[in-house]
Amino acid sequence: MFVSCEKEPNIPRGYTLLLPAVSVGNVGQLAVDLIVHTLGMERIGYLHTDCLLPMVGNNPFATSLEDASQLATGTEVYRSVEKNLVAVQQRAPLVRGKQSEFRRRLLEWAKQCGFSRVVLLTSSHAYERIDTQMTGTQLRYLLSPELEKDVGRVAGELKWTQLERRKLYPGVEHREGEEHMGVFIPGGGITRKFYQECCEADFPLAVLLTFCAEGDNIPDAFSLANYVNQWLQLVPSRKAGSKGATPQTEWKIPSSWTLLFGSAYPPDLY
Amino acid sequence: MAAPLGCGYGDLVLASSRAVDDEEEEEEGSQTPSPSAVLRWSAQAKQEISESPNDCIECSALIVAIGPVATGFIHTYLLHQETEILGMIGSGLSEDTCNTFEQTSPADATCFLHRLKSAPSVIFCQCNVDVPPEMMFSWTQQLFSCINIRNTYVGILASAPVSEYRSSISLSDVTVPFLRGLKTNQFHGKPVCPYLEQPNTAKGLPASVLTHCQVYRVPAVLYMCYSDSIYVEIPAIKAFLPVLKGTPFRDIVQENPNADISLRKLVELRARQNNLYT
Repeated sequence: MFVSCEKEPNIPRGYTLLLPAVSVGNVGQLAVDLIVHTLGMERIGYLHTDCLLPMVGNNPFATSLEDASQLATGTEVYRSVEKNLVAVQQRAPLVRGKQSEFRRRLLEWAKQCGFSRVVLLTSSHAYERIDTQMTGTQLRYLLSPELEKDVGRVAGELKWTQLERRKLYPGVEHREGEEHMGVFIPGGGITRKFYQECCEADFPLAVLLTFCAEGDNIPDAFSLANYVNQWLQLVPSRKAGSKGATPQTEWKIPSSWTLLFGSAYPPDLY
Repeated sequence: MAAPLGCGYGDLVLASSRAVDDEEEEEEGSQTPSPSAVLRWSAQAKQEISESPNDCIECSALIVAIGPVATGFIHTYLLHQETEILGMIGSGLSEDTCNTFEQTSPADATCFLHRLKSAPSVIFCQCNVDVPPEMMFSWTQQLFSCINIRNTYVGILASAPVSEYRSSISLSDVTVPFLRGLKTNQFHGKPVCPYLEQPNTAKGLPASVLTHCQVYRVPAVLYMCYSDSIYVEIPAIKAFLPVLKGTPFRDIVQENPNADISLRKLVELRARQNNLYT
């Protein structure tokens, strides 16, 4: 699935893998855009598979006319040696019926590369929130058992909120000992199933999530990127003005973020 | 006043979401294998492949035309010379799918590989079939499966509606149809038209072929014609004319004195199929 564009493929073992899920508002993908562009991560390869729909365009991270004509494909892999980080940016949806195959291949590739942990950025429908989620921070985290001990402690220090478990079958009585609470991430794409598969495979996965609705999701992307940054410390941030607020970071907006809602309207319309 | 029958005032319209629904995936184990595209070679091509040292057809230029506008252009300006059919790529069985080498009308839903008799190392793929998204990867793999692309230039022509084109300039101030280009990193020249600007993207089969070329380091260029008509029209086909001056087309083009007649016949043939009631 991974095809390197370097003469000698180089993904050192122990790196962190950052993945976006195609989810409501595309927030995970927007957050990865911010991280890749701000860190100036270099492209090291492609995820070339029949599970993904094809898409091409010019360089979404162009900074000058010279690099604007560099072709970008639907799903690319970037690396930052300085931050021990590899990021995948997925710009095209999955082929219908290929989601489970894609999850399987992703997990297999992550294991082969020896990543120390995978961080999945995703979002969930705001209209499905329970009462306790309606107020306060909209950011949540979820850890596979492999990461509970170390990252759980860090999450506690950062005063993060873990994603609340929900009743699997509301209104149904359960026998003692029967599993009745589970993870519920509507609109999260591959998140829930990938999380379950990583738990079963004892693979270290952290899910960072925000509740949002479809619309202008740029503020949600900034919020999620800041959330990641609190933990991974990828980009210097300045302290927040008010107590309890997330520290703010100077993220660079990529050139591909223009005309997100379509072309300019024709002036002769009026 | 009572609302007319069928008036949708107050109807609930669900906003489309870009989110992937968790539950749209089928249960494990009940998934049927997804169909793949199949490439069938002509008898002569099969013999050539079996006799070649690396089981491939030698190719210095591969031209892929996708859709009626692009295939109409190639048919008029490049395939007017003597050609032979090398093979075909099949991608599904529907009522109008062609599965024989005999159905050679330019308006049929076919996907043939042609070769110029005067330049046998140049291969043309004329794709007039709507390839389903789940078959695009296998279609592309099939196309490149038996063609030696080591020293090959690939040219891809396709079209798209101008309504999909995003620009800070109002489209009423832009002359339509127009061309935009994309190229792989291995293609060292420049397209003969402006680059496709961000945030515009190309998708579907043209994107699948260009992605394959980018990943496997093949010099390739894609020309997209944006037009404002849903029908095949002469201005949209002629919008591709500048590409004849660029690589890999300029080394193989020969002037067609009957081009305009050929174009009119093609457009009339297509117009007969564009009847709302057929």
